[in-house]
Amino acid sequence: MTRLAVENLRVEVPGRATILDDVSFDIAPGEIVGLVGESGSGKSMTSLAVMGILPRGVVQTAGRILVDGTDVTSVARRSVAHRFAMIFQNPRDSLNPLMRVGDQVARMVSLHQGKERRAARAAAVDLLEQVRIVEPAQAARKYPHQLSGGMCQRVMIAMALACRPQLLLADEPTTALDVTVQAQILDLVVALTEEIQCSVLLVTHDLGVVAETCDRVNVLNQGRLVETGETHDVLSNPTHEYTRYLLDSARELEVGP
Amino acid sequence: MLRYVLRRLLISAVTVIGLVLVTFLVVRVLPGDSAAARLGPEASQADIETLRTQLGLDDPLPRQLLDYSTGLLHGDMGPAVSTGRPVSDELLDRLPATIELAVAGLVIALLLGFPLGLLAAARPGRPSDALARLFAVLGSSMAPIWLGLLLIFGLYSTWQLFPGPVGRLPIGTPPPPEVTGLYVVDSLLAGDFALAGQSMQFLFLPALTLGLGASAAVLKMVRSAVLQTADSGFVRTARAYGVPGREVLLRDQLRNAMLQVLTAIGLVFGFLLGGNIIVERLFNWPGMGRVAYDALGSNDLGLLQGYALIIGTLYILLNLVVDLVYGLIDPRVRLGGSSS
Repeated sequence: MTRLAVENLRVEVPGRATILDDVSFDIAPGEIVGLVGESGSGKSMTSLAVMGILPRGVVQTAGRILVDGTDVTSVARRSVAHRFAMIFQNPRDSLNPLMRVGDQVARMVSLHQGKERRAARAAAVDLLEQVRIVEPAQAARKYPHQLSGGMCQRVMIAMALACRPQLLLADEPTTALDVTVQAQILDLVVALTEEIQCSVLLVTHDLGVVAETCDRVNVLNQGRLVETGETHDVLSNPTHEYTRYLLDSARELEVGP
Repeated sequence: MLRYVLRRLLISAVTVIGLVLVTFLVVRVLPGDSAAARLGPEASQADIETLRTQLGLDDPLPRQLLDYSTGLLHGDMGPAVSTGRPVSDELLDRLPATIELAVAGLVIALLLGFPLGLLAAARPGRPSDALARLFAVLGSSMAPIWLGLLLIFGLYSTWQLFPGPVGRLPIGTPPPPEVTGLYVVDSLLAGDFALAGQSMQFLFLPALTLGLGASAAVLKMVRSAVLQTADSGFVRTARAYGVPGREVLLRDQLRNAMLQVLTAIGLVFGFLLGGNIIVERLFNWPGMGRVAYDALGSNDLGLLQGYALIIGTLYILLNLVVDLVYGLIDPRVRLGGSSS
């Protein structure tokens, strides 16, 4: 049983560059799967392709994306049809600077749960409370520039929860945050998704984060999957040269030069 | 917000003072003797000297500036040497005509430029975009005087759809009782709908001449500002969460693009107020531009100075309004304090 299956995904800038080549992986319900690689390896493009929001000029030229066995490759507005949600690297930039954060969450509630305005607003405050924001009613009235990066990411997670997601794509969700906040946000994602049996694709360059949270991990190098397996196996006994290289650079950072 | 408003007001006041200084100095350093100009070529040197003393032109510069500024505070800009009437009367009588034309031009520019720019930005690179951009190129490359002549030739001479270039109303028709000085508004206030219709007909061709060129600027600005937001994080978020395309365009992209668009609209309106001398001349529109044009011909520097001062002040007021509207749209301006 797989929640998401990506089969032979190929993504290109036509005539210019191949960004992803023959990428295949799957995620079971409730599972947290890591996707690691350096910047430029195609990690983020993979999540955008799954979400169906590749940037202008970038197209998927081959492969299928299956949700619970159904091909959704050409389904527009995938998140509404299949309850996908996504959080991003720069939470504050990911929120509309001119809308109160409560309204932004409420908008997702009415879009995905069909609630009318007033009910959606109340639900938004509940969601902000669920992501452990203190005094959620007050926070709902704030604009993104009045909140810290960590708070903005909590708001993003509340938006994700508003979709009652079956799959959460988390693209470097903690990279832009302070180290102390990173752990809180990660714990929050793990706890909340476990609660609602939501699968997670965690895109990151941070092997420490992968070791802590992921059941399985895929290693991406220059648009190709080079290694895949249980997190523990891959990290303790890497078979591919590139994975070893990633692990070595991570260790060097920990120990210092 | 209050602090923001006060700061904007203060800045505007300082700018107005600077404007008074600059217009005053520029006129003083320009060659040309307004006393000689007023008396004509036949005047004797002695007469010119007498008039110079009378007008205070021989006083030291600071003294002249002080007299001029004191006058300004009482709404007195000195006499216009070419006509003998006060400069302020000469210009302020004509101000409503200029404003009416500029506002009508702006309305046309917005009605055309806004939707076309949005249409172009909704599908960049598609035929709708190409057509809109072609319109922008044509609109901005056509000189107003040429466009005005074309419109007069087509819509008046050939098809008789609109009245000819004889001013604001048919010759001999009395204007509506003056309230605002804008004929369309005043005739509506007086309940005279026929007269309002007539004024609008007379207004249409010069306003279209101004508005077509300006609409190209609005179109380009709306298009590029909206497109810039297309790659931003919050638009990506909205798309990722399945917000319908039209709502993303209007509620996320356009609202965030409005800050830039507003700046452009302010610039365009300023251009319409001050840059329509040729159009006023072409359509015999009795606005301030006409006065400035005639003043230039008769070397009436005081009148030109007044013109520059009034147009400049309108610019500053306009910028003040744009800044205040920023505050209404953008909470980052209104509430201050970015935490990034």
